[in-house]
Amino acid sequence: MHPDHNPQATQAKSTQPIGPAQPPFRPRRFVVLFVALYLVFHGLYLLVPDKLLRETIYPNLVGSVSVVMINGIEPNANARAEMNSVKSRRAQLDIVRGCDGSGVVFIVAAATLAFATSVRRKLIGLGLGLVLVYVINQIRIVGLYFVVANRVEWFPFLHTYLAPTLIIVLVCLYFSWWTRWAGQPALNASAG
Amino acid sequence: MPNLKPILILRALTIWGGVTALGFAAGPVLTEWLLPAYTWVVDLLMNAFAATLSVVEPERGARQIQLLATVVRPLPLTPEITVPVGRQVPASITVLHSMVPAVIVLTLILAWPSASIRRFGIRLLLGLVATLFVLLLVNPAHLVGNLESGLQSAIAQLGGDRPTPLVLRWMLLMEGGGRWLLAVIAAAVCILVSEAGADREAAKPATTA
Repeated sequence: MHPDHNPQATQAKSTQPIGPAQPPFRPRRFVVLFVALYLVFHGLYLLVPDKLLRETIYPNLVGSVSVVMINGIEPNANARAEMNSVKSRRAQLDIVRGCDGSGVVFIVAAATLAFATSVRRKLIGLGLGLVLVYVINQIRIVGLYFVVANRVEWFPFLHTYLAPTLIIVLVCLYFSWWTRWAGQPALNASAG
Repeated sequence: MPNLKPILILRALTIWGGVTALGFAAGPVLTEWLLPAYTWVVDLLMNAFAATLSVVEPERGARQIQLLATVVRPLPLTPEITVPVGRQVPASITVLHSMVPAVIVLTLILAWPSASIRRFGIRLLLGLVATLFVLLLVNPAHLVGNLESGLQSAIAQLGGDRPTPLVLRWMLLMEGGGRWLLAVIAAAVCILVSEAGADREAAKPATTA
């Protein structure tokens, strides 16, 4: 699903489609698959032990990168990652289940895999989507750290309201961008 | 890969900004309007309690929707300990947090290009109904889920055990990102329904002379 996308119009413009046309977009199939895949991902996520998230995944995948970014922005911060927390003299930010960006990852992954296109394009969409969500989430976490350090009263507004809605709008824009490409038939070397 | 028209990105972000500001300003009033509907759903979700909902503004912190659940039949926590009738148990969520699905649905349906003003109007109407539906699916369960979560903790502290209630599972699903999923699906359905047949309509030659 994406704006301005009309596979027939796209094909008409192109004179040299050399690959097979992509499967047609079937909305009902997409929605059902999208929800089903999301539920599968959510179910699998619930199977991951809290200890593994807290002691291994969050410090290595989120905390350490956040610390590098924070200390890069403010060299005197002396921020450090401890378990699932990013700590400094001025602030402490705890990364917990549900606030780790997993929900957005599942939405992007489920939508990408549910969209009718080739496996190659799905994998590209999935890879780019996951990188995008990771980068956005890191920016969110570092931003929230500085909010806690400087304007803690803004934290609830940013954490529970502004950031989630903005991130969902951004990933919807990404998905829309990706489907413009993924929904096209395979063309000559100038495309795709 | 193709470029997404910058105007679409700008439009989406501008609309997001507007809807976010609207949610921030009008959220408490909208929530007050929705309290009877929330109360109705909360009562459906709880057997042992009677619900009273209100919007409260604590001295510190953001405005909250507060659920005051009054025990209407004895509520056993363990074989030895029962919560007596009349005991009140509070639970709350912030008003802003409760508005998140509404902001997402409205941003997406307003930002998406439409084939005609008529179709856009239909989409807007559908979007308002869908927003209400999503809010009713998410927020009452969040309140009851918080209450049930407190009960689960109390039971665990007392050495008891009970299966996780369905409403608590639903709340965890919604809080883990399900509320965003519901909002995106609701918006997508509104867009697909309102724009259905737009391509054929555009391709059809004029039949009136």
